[in-house]
Amino acid sequence: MVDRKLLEMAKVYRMPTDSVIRYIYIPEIISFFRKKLGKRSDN
Amino acid sequence: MIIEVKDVSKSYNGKKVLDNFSLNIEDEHSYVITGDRGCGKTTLMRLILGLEKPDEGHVGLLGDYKYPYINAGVVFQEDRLVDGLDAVTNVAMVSKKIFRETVAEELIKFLPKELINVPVRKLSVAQRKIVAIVRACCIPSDVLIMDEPFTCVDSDTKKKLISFIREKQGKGPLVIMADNVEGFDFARIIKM
Repeated sequence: MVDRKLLEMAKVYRMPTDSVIRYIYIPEIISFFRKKLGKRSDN
Repeated sequence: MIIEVKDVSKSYNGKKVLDNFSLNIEDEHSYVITGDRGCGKTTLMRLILGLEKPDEGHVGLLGDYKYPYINAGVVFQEDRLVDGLDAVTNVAMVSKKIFRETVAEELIKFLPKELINVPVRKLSVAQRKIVAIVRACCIPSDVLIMDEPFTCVDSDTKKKLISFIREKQGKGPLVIMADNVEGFDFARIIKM
């Protein structure tokens, strides 16, 4: 679900774990559910 | 610091991408690694960054003291930005050692002020590439490594970006992977 390339970028930059969760995981999860909800309301 | 790439070979699915390749990357020097597409430039970058292991040979970090890993400012071929976040956040999020105000000052050298606080999904490909370059240059790093950083960027902006990158390079090495070597007369050109 989370973009592997973004996680690789985070690894290379040695991003702190809390920042990875806040700025990569959470926005990706929100975007995933938004897309799901959008698809449902289209049906 | 010296990054030593020694007799490195790497294959994918039986196809040899790098064959016994060696290179020493030294402080205060700039390198442009060039060659046809598929010649192994990106693979070399990934090996230097420790994202891949060589099949043969080794990549080492040499210096006055032992470096456990490279602190690198990196531009990937793709911009690798979080679409829903603005340019300032995309840059500032990678390190707690940089301030949003400083990042904003750097970004407005290249982007209209009104664009730095909107989600990067609204920016053009070239503008997103600029954000990725500023991100690489803003963090404290031992080396700057950039894979095709100027694709889609016009020639005037490319010149400005090269000056910006060289100013931020400091005493560390700069390594640029590029198909086209135009505008890189300051660097040592290495053909793969």
